[in-house]
Amino acid sequence: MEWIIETEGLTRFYGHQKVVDTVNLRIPRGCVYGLLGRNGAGKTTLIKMLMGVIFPDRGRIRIRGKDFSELSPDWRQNVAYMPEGHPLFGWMTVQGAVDFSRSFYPAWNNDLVLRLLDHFKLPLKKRIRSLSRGQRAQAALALAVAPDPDVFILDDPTLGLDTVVRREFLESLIQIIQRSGRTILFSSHILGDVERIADRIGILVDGVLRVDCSTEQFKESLRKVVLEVFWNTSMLARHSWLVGAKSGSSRCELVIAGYNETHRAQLEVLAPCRIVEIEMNLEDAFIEYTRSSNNSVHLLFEEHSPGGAK
Amino acid sequence: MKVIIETSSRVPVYQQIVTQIREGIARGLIQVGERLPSVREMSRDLVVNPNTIAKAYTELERQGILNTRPGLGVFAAQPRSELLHDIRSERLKEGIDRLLTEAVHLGFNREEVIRLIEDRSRAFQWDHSSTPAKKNRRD
Amino acid sequence: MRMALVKKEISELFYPGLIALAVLLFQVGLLTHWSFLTRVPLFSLFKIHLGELASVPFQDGRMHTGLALVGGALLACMAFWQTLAAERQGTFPFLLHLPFSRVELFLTKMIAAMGVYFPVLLAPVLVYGWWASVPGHHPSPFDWSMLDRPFWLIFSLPILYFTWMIIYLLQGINFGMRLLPLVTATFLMFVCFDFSLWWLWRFLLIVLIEAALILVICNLAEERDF
Repeated sequence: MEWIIETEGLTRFYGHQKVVDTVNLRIPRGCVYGLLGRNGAGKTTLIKMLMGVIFPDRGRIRIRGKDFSELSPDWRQNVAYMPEGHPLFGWMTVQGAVDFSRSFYPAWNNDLVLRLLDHFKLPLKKRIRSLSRGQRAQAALALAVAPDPDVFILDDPTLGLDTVVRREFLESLIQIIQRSGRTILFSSHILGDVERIADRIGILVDGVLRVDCSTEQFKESLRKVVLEVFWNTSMLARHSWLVGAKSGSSRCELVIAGYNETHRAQLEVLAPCRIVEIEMNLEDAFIEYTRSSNNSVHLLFEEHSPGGAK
Repeated sequence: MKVIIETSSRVPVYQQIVTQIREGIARGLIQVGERLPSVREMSRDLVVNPNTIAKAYTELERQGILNTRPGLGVFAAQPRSELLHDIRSERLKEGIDRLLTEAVHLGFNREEVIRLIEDRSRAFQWDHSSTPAKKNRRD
Repeated sequence: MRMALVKKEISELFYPGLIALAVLLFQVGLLTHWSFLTRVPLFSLFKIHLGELASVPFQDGRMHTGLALVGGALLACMAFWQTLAAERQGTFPFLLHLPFSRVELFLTKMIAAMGVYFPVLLAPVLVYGWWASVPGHHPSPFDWSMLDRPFWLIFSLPILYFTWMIIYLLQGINFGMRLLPLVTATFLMFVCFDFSLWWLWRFLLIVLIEAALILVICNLAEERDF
């Protein structure tokens, strides 16, 4: 499998705080990877490190199999990067921004830009600063697509967009994905978007990549199990597969990662009067995962299946 | 037929597509032999990753519900008749037993259940050609 | 390719440059009591009052003060715009993603700033010099060599810009570092106006300082988080 992005033990401190903690991320060609996490979980820091905007304190990054330090500046020409908030130069007109970006890329597809801008109904004469947030995101997307890159790195591209614009943005993104062999890494905190778009998801919790598996596997492997018991549930041992636990006097709710027969057997040892298994939707699963204070929580990793990528 | 994706659901997206297409064919919303939207088209319409659509189609093909004709597209297949009649009726009996169990526990009587089945079945597309007498007409 | 970047940087610095130019020309106007306007056809219609021109052009230090103040402000403003303002607007990730190395990016920024700075400061000095060179404008003798002081000033003032750049790039790291421009400014005063130093030594000294500061900026740019 051809890896577009690989990191090894990527770590970054801000002061004494570990913002990104030993992240091992591997993204194969053609994969659409959704990076999830709460605000401040380290998504932007991770992406900035991948783009060379900030530097890791520890660990290595390889882009297309090449170590970061060996890359010449023009490796960026076929990597599109949309930083958080879609920064463009406010004083430029849309046309001016197109002309500016255009001069840096030999493979600039101007027809495509004009078609996209027309599709988004963006007036060329308008200044970037007077565009709405959604329009700026669309302009940034048009500029990012134009050099015909095959890797897209999007830092929370739908942040602050209203529902309609967000949907339009996702539609454009789908069109980008449809060109096969394109690799996309995007961060988001909107789970529905991730579920629609991503093949694989990664969840960062306090800088640690806690989940890295296919979207379906994540959804299918988490179960909420309700136990009704006679004994006091606070004596429940902390298992690594236990994502969260809420206990009352005779009832406790467990959230379990990678739920299987062994877990069930282990629970039955506790002799509960009833075990009820409930499937969880992505949002519930995400919430359970990210608010878990259990640091030894099961890390959900699944190897990349050879057929998984396009 | 329009597939509706619910991202807040517990069911994975590809599974939602599989279920809805199966049901669509059973209800006759999709005719046997009808061409389905391509992976690209459906991905665009539903705003869902094409890989997910492809996965659903592969699953449906594995179940014998769709077949792909290279270069032409994806089509709704004839209901499977390659399995032995016995196996098919075994599978159906399982489903009926589950249904009847539920009906008993919900407090329905036998006549009511039969009437309801009669009622609901009108919304579905039945393959008349599977009776031996009409089998030749299909070709 | 690089031209587009230079163009972008220059157009961002255009208005501060224009304002500085206007202020300096206004000062030249004051120094010459607007008498040069009588040479402009349209303005010659107005009888502009020519006051007394007491001092000798370039020798009374008024031009230097103006140059130093306006030039210093312009340089600080440019350095601010090119670093802190860009950082606040979040455009650095965008800029850094362009297919340039960081050193190239910052060198281009500095070249653009100097491309704005030199014309803006030199033009008023030359206008003033031209005015002074025309006989009958003022009672004192004039020689073009009298312009060497403003030239020295203009040549050494960018040291302030480079120190400002360093300060902005180091933002928040060390408060004491923020005094650096003051220190360099004081130092400048000594070097620039210490005419006991042979001109070549002075020239080399200034070039050396500027080169060292540019090197520091490039280094900072390479290693800094944006």
